[in-house]
Amino acid sequence: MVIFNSWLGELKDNRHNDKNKAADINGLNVPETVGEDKIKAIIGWGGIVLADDTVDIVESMQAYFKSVNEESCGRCTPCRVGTKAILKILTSIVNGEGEEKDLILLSELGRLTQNAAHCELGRTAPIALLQSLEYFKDDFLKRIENGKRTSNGNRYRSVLATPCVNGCPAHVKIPDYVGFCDEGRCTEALDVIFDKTPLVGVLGRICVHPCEDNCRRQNLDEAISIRAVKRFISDFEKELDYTPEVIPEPKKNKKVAIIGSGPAGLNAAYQLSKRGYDVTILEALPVAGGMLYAGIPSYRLPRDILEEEIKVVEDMGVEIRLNTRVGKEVLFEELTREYDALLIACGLHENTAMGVEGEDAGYEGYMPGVHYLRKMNLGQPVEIGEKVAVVGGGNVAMDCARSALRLGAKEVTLVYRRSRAEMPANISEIEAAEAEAIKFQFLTNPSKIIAENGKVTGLECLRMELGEPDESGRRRPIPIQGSEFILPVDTVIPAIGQKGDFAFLPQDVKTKNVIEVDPLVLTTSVKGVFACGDAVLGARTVVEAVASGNKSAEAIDRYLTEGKIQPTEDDYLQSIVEVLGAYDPDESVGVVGKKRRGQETVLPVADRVGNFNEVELGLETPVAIEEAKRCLQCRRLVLVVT
Amino acid sequence: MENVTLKIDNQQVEVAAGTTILEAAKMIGVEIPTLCYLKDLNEIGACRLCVVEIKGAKALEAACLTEVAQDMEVWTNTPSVREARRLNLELIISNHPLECPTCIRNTNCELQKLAGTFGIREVRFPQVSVKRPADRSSPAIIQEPDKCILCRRCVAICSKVQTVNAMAVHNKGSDLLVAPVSQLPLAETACVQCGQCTLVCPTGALYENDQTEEVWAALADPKKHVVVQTAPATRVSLGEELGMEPGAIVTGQMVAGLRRLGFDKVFDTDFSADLTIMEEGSELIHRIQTGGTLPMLTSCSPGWIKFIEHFYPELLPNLSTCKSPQQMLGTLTKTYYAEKAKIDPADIVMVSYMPCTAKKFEAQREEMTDSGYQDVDIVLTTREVGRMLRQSGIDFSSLPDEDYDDPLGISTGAGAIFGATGGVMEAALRTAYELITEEELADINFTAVRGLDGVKEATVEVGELTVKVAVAHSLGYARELLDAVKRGAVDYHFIEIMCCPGGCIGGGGQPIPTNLEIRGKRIAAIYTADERMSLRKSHLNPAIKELYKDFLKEPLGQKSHDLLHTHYTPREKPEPVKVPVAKKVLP
Repeated sequence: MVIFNSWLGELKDNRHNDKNKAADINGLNVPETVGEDKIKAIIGWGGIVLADDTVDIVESMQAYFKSVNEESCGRCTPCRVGTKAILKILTSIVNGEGEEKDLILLSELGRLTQNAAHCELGRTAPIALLQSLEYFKDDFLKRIENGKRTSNGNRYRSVLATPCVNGCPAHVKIPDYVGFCDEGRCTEALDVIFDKTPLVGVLGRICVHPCEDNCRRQNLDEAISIRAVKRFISDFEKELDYTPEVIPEPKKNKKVAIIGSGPAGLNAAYQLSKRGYDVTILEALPVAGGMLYAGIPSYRLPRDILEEEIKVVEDMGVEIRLNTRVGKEVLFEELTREYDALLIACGLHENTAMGVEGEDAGYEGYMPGVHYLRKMNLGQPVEIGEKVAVVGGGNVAMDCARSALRLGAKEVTLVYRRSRAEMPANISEIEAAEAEAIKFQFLTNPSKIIAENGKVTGLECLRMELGEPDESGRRRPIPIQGSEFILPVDTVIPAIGQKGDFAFLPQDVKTKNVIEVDPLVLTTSVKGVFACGDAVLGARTVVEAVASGNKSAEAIDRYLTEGKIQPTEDDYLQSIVEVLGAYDPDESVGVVGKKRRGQETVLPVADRVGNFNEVELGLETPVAIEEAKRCLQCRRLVLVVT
Repeated sequence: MENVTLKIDNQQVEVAAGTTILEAAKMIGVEIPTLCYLKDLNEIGACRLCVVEIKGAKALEAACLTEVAQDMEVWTNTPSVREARRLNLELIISNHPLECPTCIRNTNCELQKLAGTFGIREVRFPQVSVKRPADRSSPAIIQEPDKCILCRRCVAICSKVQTVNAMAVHNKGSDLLVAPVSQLPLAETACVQCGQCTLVCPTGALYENDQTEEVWAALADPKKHVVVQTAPATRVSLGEELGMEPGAIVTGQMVAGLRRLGFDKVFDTDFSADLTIMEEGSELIHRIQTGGTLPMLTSCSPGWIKFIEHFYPELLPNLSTCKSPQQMLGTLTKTYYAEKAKIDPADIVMVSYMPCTAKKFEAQREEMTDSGYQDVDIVLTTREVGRMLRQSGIDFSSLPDEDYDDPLGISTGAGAIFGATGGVMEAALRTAYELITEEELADINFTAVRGLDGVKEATVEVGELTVKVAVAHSLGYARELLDAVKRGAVDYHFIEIMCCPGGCIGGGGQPIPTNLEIRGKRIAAIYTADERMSLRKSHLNPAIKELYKDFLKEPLGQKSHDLLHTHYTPREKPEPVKVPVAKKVLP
């Protein structure tokens, strides 16, 4: 039951109505509890939602402004001084030392901060305060008149509802680091990112940046180039040789083994060793990095960057045992015996079959995409022909196609069964492939691999048309009967999906296509065995792997310290943010002055063929600063009263 | 760049795209109040004094940050704008000590001025900041964090103009703090004591170490023979400090004023500037002829010296071994002059009046005791000498012109231009040309090395030798030039480097405000002073000739070596700190 609601709209005040009739109110469908605590009120950028009349509104405001003040960057006067003064005045009222004239000061300061603060935090924080002064004035006056009273024991928890952070699977505090970059404090900007991951240069280059899809700036002009700003920070500090100093917690004398040194495993190792665990990573390949090394071509992610960032994890004391395949060099059972917890982060290193004739015939010139990229990235010889067909529309297909060109192919054709608009690959990857003169055969699906004397000579394809949307929301491709034609190629590279090789796992670790886990805490069907990354998510993005690795570390930590695993308070608070909605694409942001987004410098197309030199070269300093300045700093705070 | 048309306070304005509202408003004669703004250097919207109303914007926006747009409508003086400005001021003041009468910036404080303008009569908000002690660790610069309003101008100057990064922003939220890097005492950082931060600080949070009381004590001591020397740039600054227009030339009145304060002798650093040319010029010729280390770097500017010691110790062999003119004059006063005047150097108090805070640091360096005593005892800046003259009640503008005392007060125009960027170079070229070629220069004005460009270069035919020279002012531009030298990208013979933007006329001890326009006026005045001199080449200075004949014997001779030259040593290299800079500008 909601008894007062001013959230982002029409005011509903049922405090003075017959409580029994007050059930019908446009209450938000927020969760009812945080863990076992019942939610009594939500206070935030949208206003005040009251679900319990025992909530002490004055004390709640004090708690709210305490959080606001902790989140303030401190740059502008209204937020740095104003919200602190508000907090001080509220504290004196709560302590029974307030005066009636304090209410005037509070509303003046509230108005000032709302009107004149630099960013959303300051501009939105006073909304609830001003409303409370208007609708709950009696509560303030009573407090001033009657003096201090015993607290009713409410608990206050706050959470930021920042659109971009909400869009980032790893919840990297984007406005903080972009803001520091804007202020020229790149060292601190890097520290902020390091809180979540040491793979800054990696993500700064190859992250698919879902954060940017949630950027409020696009409601005005274009999203901030968040990924490029991150990369700028990484490059800038690398030039100064600065790496944040990570001080681990005291040793816990507990051992964790991680299978796989990809982004998920590395991040889990990083977070666990920060928490004082002894971590060993078992890596089957002769190099660390998982798909970052074996999958991503070096023109997108230079190896020195990757190696430096892996070294950060090693420098924390994490041992990475290379050439150690579980099930071969070491047995799964040995790991469960010797370690206090085990994390499977083995990724998906096998190709999904196209299911066409000739696929299993072992033709020369047929190379599954994942294998081909791995061989190439490990420096093994790859026999690429002159005319190459790559099948698929995702980022891996792009990597295969663009790499083929660099390995000497004369003509590369990408075969995709839907149209350009449905391609799952990043638009920047598609554009780069187009710029590099890769040919696209859209609405085309392979039907047969043609070979002569055991060598591929062509790929038979069918034309497709788009029908009704399928479960992914994209229109389903339907073959056009009799539209067969042959692409004359000597190399066929399927890159339509990945799957895992879970043969090394014992039977009791349940798998379907991926390893089955409780998605909130990443536990497998075996106690003490956790799994994360692509191995549980399916073939996804690096940043999702990072997030998944971090989450698994959190769960393992709780398992090893408390012996039980439950969702964290933060999980509950995040679910509240989800309901309230961190990003509204239709919101008018109320900021004037459009500015185009900054563009990265790129290697000229002519300089890309025949080599693996990095293509995207990052933002020039003035562009990076301007880009950071464009950030609206949409930090909005929510206080949950239980 | 294309133009955009907008309305500010209902007036149509056409300005270049990319202009901020703040700058656009200036064009229609509206000065929007600011406390943190420094054009192109610190446009961060921190103080929020410059907020304006813009049609279509949900909240007030900072005029210093917001660029104009086509058809934008802006109002700079509405009730909500005024309320926001007043409240912001009230909030800032609520965390600022109300010590105006005892503050060094009393009557020249931007916060005080705005409080007056906006009629802030009471502070209703509680103080929320924490009290912090003053940092008096440095000989030249004092920081009082309690008076800091967190505008970050000092950080911007120190990092973006000087690239020293001695000042930094720390923490966040209400713990935000502007303090020396790593929160060390300032003296333990690479701070070069240039005092540019004191010029831009809007309040009394950063200021020169005021030594006027020490000078008053010396003047009152009958046993002391108190001598003052005046740096080249002082003659175009003291008038301004005392209320005249920037660029007022007050050489004679300055001498008269100092005499009235009680100084026994008034000498001119221009004299030792001429002497520097003789020594440094000879050193350059010697290096060129004997294959010595080139390019040779000038060594007059003590902030620059400390900078090279910290950041470019590998280039110390390139540095001229000449002491700065201040230190040469100090040494000579306590040797040559003391001998001549038959005064025990122990009784001499050498006070120098400099445009520079770093000179305070230089005077107390351990290398600077070749006379057997501390060569220069006390260094005053323009702001301190102005204070002394005001205290004495002297009506400066009605003073007659007086001449400097002999023999260390005789100088040429070449000495005077030391005060402007490029001046040392020009003076050196005037003399080197004539000494090497034994011909008279057709045109003694080397305009290529004049002006406010960050790096200037020139090629001069001196007899059969083509001399390549370069000039940089401000340490950011110095860094640019030195990096080119290190890369081997340039092959200059001689480089002049001045620590402060504009050279000494823009020194950290100069009148507040000092900005680009004012620097330009002071520079113009310096060249006027040069033109008014009958002698404009150092080697023609008769007092210098006499000094060599009677005392030093010859440039680079034994006596010069003992008294006028020195060596500097590497200092601790600071942790690499850098701030990304969008474009290089001078304050």
